[in-house]
Amino acid sequence: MVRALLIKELREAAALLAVALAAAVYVLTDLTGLDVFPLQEPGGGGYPFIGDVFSNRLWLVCGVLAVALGLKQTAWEETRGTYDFLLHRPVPRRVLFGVKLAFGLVSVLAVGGLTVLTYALWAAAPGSIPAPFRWSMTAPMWLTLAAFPLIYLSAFLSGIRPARWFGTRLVPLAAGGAFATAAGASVESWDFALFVLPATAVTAAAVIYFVENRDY
Amino acid sequence: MNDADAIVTRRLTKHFDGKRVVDSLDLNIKAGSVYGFLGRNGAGKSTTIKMLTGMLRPDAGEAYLLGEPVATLRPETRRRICYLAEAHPLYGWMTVGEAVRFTRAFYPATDGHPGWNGRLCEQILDHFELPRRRKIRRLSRGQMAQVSLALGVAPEPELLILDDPTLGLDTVVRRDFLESLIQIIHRAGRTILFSSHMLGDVERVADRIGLMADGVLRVDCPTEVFRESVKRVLVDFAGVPAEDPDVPRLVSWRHVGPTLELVLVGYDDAQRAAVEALGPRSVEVVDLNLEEAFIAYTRPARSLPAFDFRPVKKSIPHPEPAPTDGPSFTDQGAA
Repeated sequence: MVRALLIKELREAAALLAVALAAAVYVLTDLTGLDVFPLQEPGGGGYPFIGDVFSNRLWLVCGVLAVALGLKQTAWEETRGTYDFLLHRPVPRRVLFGVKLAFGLVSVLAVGGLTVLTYALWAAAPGSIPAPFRWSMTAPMWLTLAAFPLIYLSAFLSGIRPARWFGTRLVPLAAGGAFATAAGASVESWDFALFVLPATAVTAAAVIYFVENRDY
Repeated sequence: MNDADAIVTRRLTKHFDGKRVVDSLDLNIKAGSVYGFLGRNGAGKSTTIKMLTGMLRPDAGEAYLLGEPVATLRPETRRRICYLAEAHPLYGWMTVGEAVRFTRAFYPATDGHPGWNGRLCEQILDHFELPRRRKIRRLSRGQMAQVSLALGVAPEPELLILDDPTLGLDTVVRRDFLESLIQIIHRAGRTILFSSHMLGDVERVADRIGLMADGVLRVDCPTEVFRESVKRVLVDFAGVPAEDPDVPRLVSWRHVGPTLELVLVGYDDAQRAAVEALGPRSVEVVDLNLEEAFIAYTRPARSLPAFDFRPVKKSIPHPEPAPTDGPSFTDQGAA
């Protein structure tokens, strides 16, 4: 049953994931100097993980994926009326939504993690960059990944929370996105995670509350 | 509540935007019965059904399915219940075969339940000639209803809650769907709650009806009793017909020329005496069919045709609107 739910989520998110992965490949080829796409001007410049634009592009790729996936898993289901079909299955509601959330979180983190890892492996390969490379240089990027669950959960909350689209519907997404961005811009190293993780926990609690208590 | 009741509600109430759409609904549907849940669009049928299935939370009151509170319905109980939602929502990107495989995954065989009846599902899909490889979004509305029926019935539920399953189907498809429904689901001990605003559909399937109007259950009795009890009484006057007649168990009234047309629950001595007291020239009692009785119960005052054939000088006077909050009608007789 969990497998069937996971396959459903994968099938429904396949197009989004494909676009996100393609965008990640584009970013990586651009920064690593591989000229594989038409009209591409490789060479993001700067030193990997320290003085280049990788961080900005990672935010763009994973942030957009997190928002799109969170809304698709909730609002899309609602507009098609399929909650009526899904939620009457003999499975606790928290399991049905737990699978959705687990899939979404893993997908966002996987795309972000793979992108960081691939870029780091390239940078670590001898001859890639004219300078020494230490894995500790990648630590801020790994910490940055902690922001994307908050953005994803904020989008999920916006989709699951009943409200008007031209009203307060997108307030959780705006608040979560703004908090994650502000924390990322102003806080260094582990402090960043310490700011973002409590906000993520509060957002997750709000998601669980609405999943269990709202009308469908 | 007792074990013989498959569905029980106690003062079930729901508001939307400050409007009470289901008002203190008390319902007892016995196990093994086929209950036709009638009402016009917006009467509160779908809201009631969504509360019964746990999709909506009631503002007040409680509901029980198969003896268990809906608010805490266990998965083991839920698997004994089939719910076909209005418009048959399914995943359009799935093929018919994928929809079957996806739904089947939720109904494994357990000690207390045989699980998914794949043979029955295949039989239904074959009967309707549904191609397994066709995407759900490519199916007609009637075919989607048929897929829904197959998916709903295959787990061999004890209780089926069908929310207007024939809505939007053309006459032929609807008839075919209903006949299949009767054949497939009408098994001893199986309880069916069937909502519709199509009188003919309910008449063919239900052995008991409930009629909702403006969120209130106005009728709850066997179909035959309802059909036989509601009467139209045509009271003819020599002069101007009486206004605002005071007759017991009056559902509605209107003027048709010199005739006062009353719709009554039953026609007993007390009602007869009240009608005679109006001083009529003649009285005629006419039986109503189910559709006429349904219309009499659910038609709002503003839509009553009001034609006046009396000679007029300048303007046509409008008769008083007929009462619409007529008597409730249960097994115990009129209230």
